[in-house]
This record gives sequence, C-alpha cells and structure tokens, in this order.
Amino acid sequence: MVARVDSCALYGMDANLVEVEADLITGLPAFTIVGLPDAAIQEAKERVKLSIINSEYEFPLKRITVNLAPADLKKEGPAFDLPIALAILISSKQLAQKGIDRFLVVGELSLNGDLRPISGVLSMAMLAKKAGKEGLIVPTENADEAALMGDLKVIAASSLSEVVDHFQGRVSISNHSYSFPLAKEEEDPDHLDYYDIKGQDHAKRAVEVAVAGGHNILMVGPPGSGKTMLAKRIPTILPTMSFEESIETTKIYSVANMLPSKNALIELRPIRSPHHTISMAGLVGGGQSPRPGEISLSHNGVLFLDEFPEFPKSVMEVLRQPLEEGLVTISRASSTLTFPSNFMLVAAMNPCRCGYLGDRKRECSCSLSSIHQYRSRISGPILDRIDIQIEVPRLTKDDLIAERVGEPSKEIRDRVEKARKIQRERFDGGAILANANMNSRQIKKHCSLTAEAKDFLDSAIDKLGLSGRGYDKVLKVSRSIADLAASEKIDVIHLAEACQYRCFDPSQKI
Amino acid sequence: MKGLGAAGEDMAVKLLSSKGFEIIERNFSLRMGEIDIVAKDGLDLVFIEVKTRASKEFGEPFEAVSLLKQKKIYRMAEAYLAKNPFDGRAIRFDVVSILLGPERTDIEHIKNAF
Repeated sequence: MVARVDSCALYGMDANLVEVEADLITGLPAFTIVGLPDAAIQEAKERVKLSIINSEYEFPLKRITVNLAPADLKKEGPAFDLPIALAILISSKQLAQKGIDRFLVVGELSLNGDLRPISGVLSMAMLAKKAGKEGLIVPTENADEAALMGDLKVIAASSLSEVVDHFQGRVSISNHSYSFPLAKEEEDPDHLDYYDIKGQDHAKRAVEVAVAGGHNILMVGPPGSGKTMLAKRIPTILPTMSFEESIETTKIYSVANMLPSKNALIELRPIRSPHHTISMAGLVGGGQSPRPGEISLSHNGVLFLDEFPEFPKSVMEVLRQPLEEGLVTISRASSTLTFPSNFMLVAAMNPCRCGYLGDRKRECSCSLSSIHQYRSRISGPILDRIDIQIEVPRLTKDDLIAERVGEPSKEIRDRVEKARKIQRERFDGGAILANANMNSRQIKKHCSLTAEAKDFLDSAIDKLGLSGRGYDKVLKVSRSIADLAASEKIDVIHLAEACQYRCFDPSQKI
Repeated sequence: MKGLGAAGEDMAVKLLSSKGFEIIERNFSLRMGEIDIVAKDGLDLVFIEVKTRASKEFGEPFEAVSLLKQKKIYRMAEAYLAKNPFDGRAIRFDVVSILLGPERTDIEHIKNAF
C-alpha cells in the first residue's frame, strides 16, 4: 500500500508542499529515498530506522522506497524524518492512513524516537494555512512558533510514539495555542537606555530625528567618543513593532534557525552589528541554498556598521539595492530568491585613519592624501542614501565628571511615536511609511515652507553649495524635525537644524 | 561433518523442487565465486542464493545478503549465461533464507529479491 504524508521543504523564506510517499515491496531489505534529497535526508534512513525500532514498532524488512514529490524540487534538512517514519509505519500497516493527510508533518528524529526542533516552522505554518490544511504536527519546541499563525490546529509531540498514539486514539494531544506574554516593562539590569549616555546631546538629538523619520545615519568621531553606545541604544527608541512586523522578522529568524528558544515571537526590534570582515554572502545572504544575511536579520530593526570605511568596497556597494527597495534579491544559477531587508542603517567611522582629525586634545598624524583616501572609501551612491551625517566629538572633562544623566529612552520613544503617527497619516495608503522614503514629487507636496524658511533656504543653497540631491535631503530631514515639533509647515529653525546634519557631505571641505 | 551451509542448501533444494522448480545446477563455481542453485521456474531462469543461520542474533539470515554479495551473484550469473545461453522469458534472482535453530527451523523463499 502506498502511504502518503504531507510535509514541506524550505525554499528561501517560504515553504513548499512536499508529498512524502512510501511503499514496500518484497525483496531483500533495502531503503531508498528518491526525489532530490540532500545529505541530511539520505542520513534520515538511519535515524528513521532506529527510531522506529526504539519506539518498539516494527521496521519492515522489505524493499522500502520513499519518494519526495515534486521530484524536481531540491529538498534538504532533517525536517523529513518524522513524515518518512510515519509513511513507513502506514505502508507497513502499523498505522492507518486516515486523518494524517489533513496535517502537515515536520520534525527531526533522534535515534531513540524523540523529536527535535527544526527551523522555519513559521513559514511552514503559513503554508499549511494556504494549502488548506487543518493543522500541523511539530516538535514540542516549535509549537509556539507554529501557533503564531492562529486558525491552525497545532499538534505538538515530543516523540514518534506520541504522534502514533494520537492518531490511534490512545492519547489525545490537545491543540497547542500561543499565549502572548503579558505586556511587561523591561526590568533587566543590563537593559540599555539613553539614560546612560553623558553629554552628546547634539548626537542624541540627531539620532532622535533619524529614528523619527526613518533616516539612515552616519556618525563620525574619534575613538571612545560614544558612537557605539549611541548606536546600540537605537532599538530602545524605535517605535514598538506591530504584530505584522513581528511576524515578518520572526519568520526570517526562524528560517535562519536563530530564534531565541524562550520566546517564539520577536517583539523587540533587532540590532545587528556585523564585524567589518564580513563577506558579501554573510551580509546580504547567500550560500548554495540561500540563507538570509545580516541585512535581512535586521529587517524592521537596525543594521549597525562600525568602522564603516573598513568594510570591503564590494560588500558596501551591495547595500544599495536593499537601502533603496527594502528587500534583497539573490540570484544563483539554480534559483532567484528575495529576502525582506527593510532596516535603518547606522554607520560609524573615525574622521581619518589615525582617528583624531579635528580632535580637541590629540593631533591628527594623517597626511591630507591619506585622509582623502580614507574618506573616499565610502562612495557617493552610498552617502546619498545616508540622510543624516553627524560629528560625535570627544567628551569634554566637564561632561565626563558631570553627575547629569540623560533623558530616558522611553521619553524619546514617545516623541518618536508621535512623529511616526503624523507620518502614517500623511502617507496614508501610500507605499511609503516614513519621510526618508519620499521621492521628489512627494517632497514637493509634503514639505511646505513658511515664507521666512523659503528665504533661509535660498541663502543656504548658495552658501552651502547644495546640490539637487543635497537640497532634497535637507528638506526630508527638516520634515522629520518639524514632525517631531508637531508643526505642519517647515520653519527656519527646522531647516537650520537639518543643515547641520551634513558634515560628511561631498561638498564639505575637510 | 557436513556444514550448516550445505545442510541449508539441501533443505532449499527440497523446498524448491516441491514448488515445481527444475534444478539445473548446484554449486556452480568459478574462480570468482559460487552460485548455490541454478533452477528453472516455468519459463524463468532463477539464480538462488541460500543463506543459513543458526540463530537470529545478528539479524535475519536474508539480511546478510549484502549489496556486495548481490553484485557478485550478478557477475556470476553473467558468467553462467555466457557458458549456457538462455532463451526463456526472464532471469530472476531469489534468496532462500533458512534459520536452522536448535528448537525451530524457519525457511523463507524471497522471490525476485534483487
């Protein structure tokens, strides 16, 4: 009898339906798996055989053929262990076929028949829903993740025999549902907060503006001035994630097998800070069967690139498409995949190779040409996509010993949320969500200036030598500043502030 | 003393004859190996490997017909056919698995085993 159990294979971000068929014929004992399986599936033979024997079922001494359909799709990973085991039990009449085909079955088996967690369960749950399945059979550890989708029956089992017992009616595993943790204020002692940062009010303000309008930001300053501290705390002032955003980010982490074990849903915006030795594939995603890279792992969060000019040029330039479109397309000979990557870029760098150009205390030892060379590592197209560029100077002695503490993150976040709300209403129904994504037409429409501001801008264009693009950038940033002040029109003070955030502009002299 | 293997082969011949097989040759051997039984089952030519075990401690007797062994029998069959051309319907490989224990004897005939 040909047994059939439905399972699925991950393919980029999405899961594809795979039918696992098994049949037995008389002959010398043999176990063959066909249907483009990878090494992990070939090895499933041993795991399946021993878990069937160790769960005290009979492993049929016949010629077993397992087929994974559709035959042209490459399948990989250990998630097929459980469906293969069930299909063999069905074909050897130790389990009835009835009822199982209403479920999508996934799970890795250990030699004693226990189920182990697998990656990408959220995508699989989405597939189950789309394919009209009644539910999903998953290892216990993945149950929360599977239940996030709602409307699906989630059967969480810890071993092969539990699944069999459930379908034979000996025990009934009840439907697992996800209980959202009660809203709690983070009281972690290590919890980051802007409260910890002394001084640097100018930089903190710039970060606030950047977050309010979704602008990318570049911080330039000598070593030890607090660039990293500032960057690491950005997630604490980002607006709270919506459920949809949480699901999107969780899906990426699930596919990358990086989901923290205790909470299934990622509710805090991620911050990723890859080292500058990262490869192109590590940053944008890749591999033979492409996996999401750092830019996708920072989807709906922050990508922090410290020592920005040290990143290889090729790696830096691949950021262009994701910065523009919020997604990244990876093309390989075998496939083309798209991963979401809508992140806020936060870059930090020293002003020159030695790090002390413009410092109050130490003299810079770089030659003019070396400064030039260092700065030119960041190309125009990348700089164009960074709306806010600020200097973060070394702290003065007074700042260091001052008892004064900064403003807590929560207060800043409240202001940011207000500014974001204004923007949501402004772009209601449009494709964009934040000021940073406006195109020139939208800038014209939404950035109306007061009469004085117009005069101010006129003279600024001359004095600062603003290019067309520089002009757009100043307007976008001043729009965000005005939103923070809840002002409908952009005024001189907003424009003047925006003009300060362009210290690294190509038109600026060293 | 006659070995376990030979005793098993005698049992296999008896079983096959009772099933109407016409035994053509026993222990067809060349330098590279041996085929236990060559027989005719109706229009088919059948090469039969007999595996005899005294206990199940190391698995069923037929589990011992490894892939390597199968390949060997396959090559032997080719050598046999080179010497004795066959124009019947099909060529088949069977296994007779015999458990010759102190208390009980199991005999199993697997048709078309590989």
